[in-house]
Amino acid sequence: MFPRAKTHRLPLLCAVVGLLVACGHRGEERTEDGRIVLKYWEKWAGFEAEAMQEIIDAYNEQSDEYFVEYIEGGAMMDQKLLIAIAGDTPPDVAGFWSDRMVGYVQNGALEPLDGLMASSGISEDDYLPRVMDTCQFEGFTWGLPLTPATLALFYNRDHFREAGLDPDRPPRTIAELDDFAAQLTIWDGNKITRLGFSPDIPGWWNNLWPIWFGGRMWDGIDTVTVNSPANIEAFEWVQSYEERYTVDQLDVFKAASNNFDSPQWPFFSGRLSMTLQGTWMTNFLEWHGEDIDWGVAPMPAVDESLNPISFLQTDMIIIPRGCPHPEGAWDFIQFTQRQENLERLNIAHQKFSPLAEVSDSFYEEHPNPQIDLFRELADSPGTYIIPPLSAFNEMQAEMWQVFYAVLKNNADPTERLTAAREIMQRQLDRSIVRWERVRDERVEQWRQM
Amino acid sequence: MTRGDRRNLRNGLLFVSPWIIGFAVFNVWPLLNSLYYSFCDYSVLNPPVFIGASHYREMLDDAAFQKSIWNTLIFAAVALPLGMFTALFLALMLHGDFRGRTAFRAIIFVPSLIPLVAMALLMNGLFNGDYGVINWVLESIGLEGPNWLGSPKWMKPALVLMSLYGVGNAVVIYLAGLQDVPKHLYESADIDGANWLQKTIHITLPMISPVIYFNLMISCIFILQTFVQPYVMFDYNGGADRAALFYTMHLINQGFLFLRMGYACAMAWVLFVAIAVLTLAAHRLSSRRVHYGGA
Repeated sequence: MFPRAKTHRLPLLCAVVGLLVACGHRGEERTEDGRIVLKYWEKWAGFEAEAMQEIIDAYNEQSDEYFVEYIEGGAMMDQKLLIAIAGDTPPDVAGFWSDRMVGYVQNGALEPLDGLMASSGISEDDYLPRVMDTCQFEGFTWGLPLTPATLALFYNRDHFREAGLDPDRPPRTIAELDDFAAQLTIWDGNKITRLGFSPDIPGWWNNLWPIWFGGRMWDGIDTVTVNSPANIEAFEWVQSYEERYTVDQLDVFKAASNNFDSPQWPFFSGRLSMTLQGTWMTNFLEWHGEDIDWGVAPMPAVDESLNPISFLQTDMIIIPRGCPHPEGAWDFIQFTQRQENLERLNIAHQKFSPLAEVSDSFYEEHPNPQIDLFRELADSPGTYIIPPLSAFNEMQAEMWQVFYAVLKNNADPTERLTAAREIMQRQLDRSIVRWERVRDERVEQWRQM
Repeated sequence: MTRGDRRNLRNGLLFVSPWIIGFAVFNVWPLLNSLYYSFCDYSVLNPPVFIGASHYREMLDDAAFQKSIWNTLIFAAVALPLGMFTALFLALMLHGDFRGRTAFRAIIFVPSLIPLVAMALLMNGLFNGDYGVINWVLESIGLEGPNWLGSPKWMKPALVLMSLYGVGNAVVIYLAGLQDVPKHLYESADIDGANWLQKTIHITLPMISPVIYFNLMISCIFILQTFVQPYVMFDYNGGADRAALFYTMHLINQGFLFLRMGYACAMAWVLFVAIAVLTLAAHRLSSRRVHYGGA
């Protein structure tokens, strides 16, 4: 048994510890020279993180008040950020994907930047219009773009020559793409040794094929339109690849494309002649396909009059709700948005600058000789950006299943899309109900900020 | 209760109070909250809004939810008995007296120490349909390997085979149980002329039945919560045809990706009740089949 006096101290100790935990909050972290440390969470790792670190180093060198610390969020950074914001312990600044923006905004998790932009002389007109569209919702700006990217068709010019095709004349319609793909494909008995094209590679935008057929996911108001004729035509086209090349053979190439950052990736190893890829592809071509004589062109649409069409997405930088140092956060964001910094970052990431004005040296120094094509695609009226729907990720998951069912299980595209539409409409309705519940209050609140 | 008893009780409670407080704050309170959230539209970022039992009703129409249950149960129905049998078989083999026994025990146990994410990445390479080692071996003996990770038909078999790499833990527990079987029972059986199989069926298995029961329950709970391997090896949606969409993956998607934490909480409660019912059923059955030597 313990002496009475000592056991009485135990509850007191527990109470003190409990109080400290309950009342505890993060103390303000400062550097040795007294600057406030700003926490910047970003999803980038490797060379992409290094490029951002260079911008941060430049900022830290010139700032007397703040010091930015780059924290690599790694995989599932979105989820970590969600918990941090909900737990009222967010970082000061965070990197973000535009497809998650609306869900976070509708839930009041991001700070609008319009007031800060106005006070700093930054205007939305400073940016490429479609890029800025991806950063806005309900007329407010929720983040500023860092490294936008568009998609295009990369092709192997040597393969074109071997197949008797003109390497300076890439396909301009889907029908031509199919025809070229057939000419570029090499069969060895019932096995394919070289594949012209596969809608399942790289497999990152399998839900988006309808955009090259003029199809859209919704009507822009409240109705899902995935079973429209254009969408059905897109998935019939997907299915035609199974009919032509068999799912078993397509799957062999799909398996080989498991790791993009590898010389075994079929385009780099010379087993695939054409592929849809993004602006960043040239970095990987430098590393894994140095000897490939490649070309790039807009991904052809079903009808030449629809060209050029692409998909535009951007990494953006945001201030989360509950940011401990909003002034510091904005000071850093402003710095990243300087023309020289955005150009430096995008040269390293091999993407294009989101700004409307670009210096001559940007094109001269950019390692991708075709970077202007990707930038032009961002400006094209046909270019698709992620719809401003908080249920987008949920709906997208459903579209992926349509793709698989049509390609691998020979499902009827019309029936499958009609079934998917019902599910997606429910998802959309649910998200609209949730948003309508708080919309007026939120918008009013943002107006006053 | 005397004054001394009361003081002892009070002191005892004070000493266990850190655990009680921790359990109440970090387990009971979140558990009760999650039950409430399961009846709410809750995004995590906003306060919950009560909507009744609509999440539970929605499960009846949610094809992805039903698919995730089906995948999980099918996987459990195959992986659980196969893993139990494999672990028991290996333990019986390793229990024998032979040269290099310790080395073999270590070899069997070591894979279970590899983190699940690392194991899943490794398996991605082994099971790859184009350049995977497994298909290369199959090809070398004249068989054409399937597209393990791309074909909806082969995804779950690949995961079942992969799960066998983790049987080392169960083997060690079986081995500990086997050490406790009294030798005199085997000696008596030897005198009666029993062979290895008869001794295994009539002595070993009944004597280690509590260990089998323990492994069964632990494996059952673990398998019903399968998450890391399919999440790493396939996309968050479980790949083609959602063939590898497991229950906990769907739950995580709903809560963290689609900002539907209320629905995720409802799913978590369904899983909790299912595991509780299975555990109770197993407990009832165990009273007739499990033999406790000391009881």
